[in-house]
Amino acid sequence: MNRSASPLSEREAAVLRLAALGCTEQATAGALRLSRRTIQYHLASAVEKLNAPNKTAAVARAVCAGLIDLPAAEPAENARDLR
Amino acid sequence: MPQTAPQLLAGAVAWRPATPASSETAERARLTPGGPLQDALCDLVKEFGFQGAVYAHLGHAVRALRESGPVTPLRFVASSVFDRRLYGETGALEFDPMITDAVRSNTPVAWSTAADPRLTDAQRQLHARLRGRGIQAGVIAAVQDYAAGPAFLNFYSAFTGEAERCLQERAAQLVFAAGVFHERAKLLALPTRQAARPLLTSREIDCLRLAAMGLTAQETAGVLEVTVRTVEFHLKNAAEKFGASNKVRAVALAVSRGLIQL
Repeated sequence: MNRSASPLSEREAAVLRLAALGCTEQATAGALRLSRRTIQYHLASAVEKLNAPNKTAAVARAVCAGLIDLPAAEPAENARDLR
Repeated sequence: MPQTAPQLLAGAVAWRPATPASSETAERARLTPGGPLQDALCDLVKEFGFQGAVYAHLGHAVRALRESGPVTPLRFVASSVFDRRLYGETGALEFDPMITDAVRSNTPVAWSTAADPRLTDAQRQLHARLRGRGIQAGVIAAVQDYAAGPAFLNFYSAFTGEAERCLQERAAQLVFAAGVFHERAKLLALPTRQAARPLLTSREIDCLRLAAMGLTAQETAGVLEVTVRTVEFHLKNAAEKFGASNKVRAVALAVSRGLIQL
């Protein structure tokens, strides 16, 4: 995944990715060791950057655009090298 | 008198790395009428000196390999009916120990059926089936197709050394051949019927699509002219079919598998 081309910051992508995995805000906060309000802040900022009406739509757009990887399909690190 | 490996394999294997004399036997052993893709696959098998091969285009279903049971490939080509049986009719893609790791790699990966204490019973059974066909080892060359989802070519070999030598000497050619074959297969092979079978009802897909567009259950109910409870019912069923814990997860999986498009 070409991170430099992504409009999302690393934190925003991480929060969206956990949301795509079905984590609640509370669970995401626990996983990233941040407060729930920080998670909400990152989510709101990601939703705004993706021009989405809400969290569900933001996750759908991020998956569609390849901005976040779902874990079962994470390509190997060298996946881009030979292309 | 003990039989040599080629004699043992003659009846059961699609292609030997053929000497001209044995190519007729190989032709007969193939049994199924060969389309252009099967012919191309047999040519690759011959060129790289293997005994057989299968090609599978997993598509975005690969994301579900560890999440929700067997995965039916989008496209499937085997060099012979025997190879087809190994995968197509057993649903081996679900637990094949080689595939889950290999499809995520961009360099070819060698595998062997040698005993490995980490294998599960199902994986041991698959390896036993492969050994029963005289297959000891092989090489998987994956194609990382980000748009259409990954695919792979799995070559079988009767000798561990052959597979490893091919990997060392001709890895780049294998990757190239796999990529070219994948592009041809996308043009020539229709998606398999099983893969095309809908996982979700059209109403469930409607609800997921509207959710992915950002509509609430209340708004979705208005659009579809049903009650909120019905929308919640459809979304719950869709999430259950995916093994997803909530709506957001179900939407993410539906998008990643191409069931809904934005």
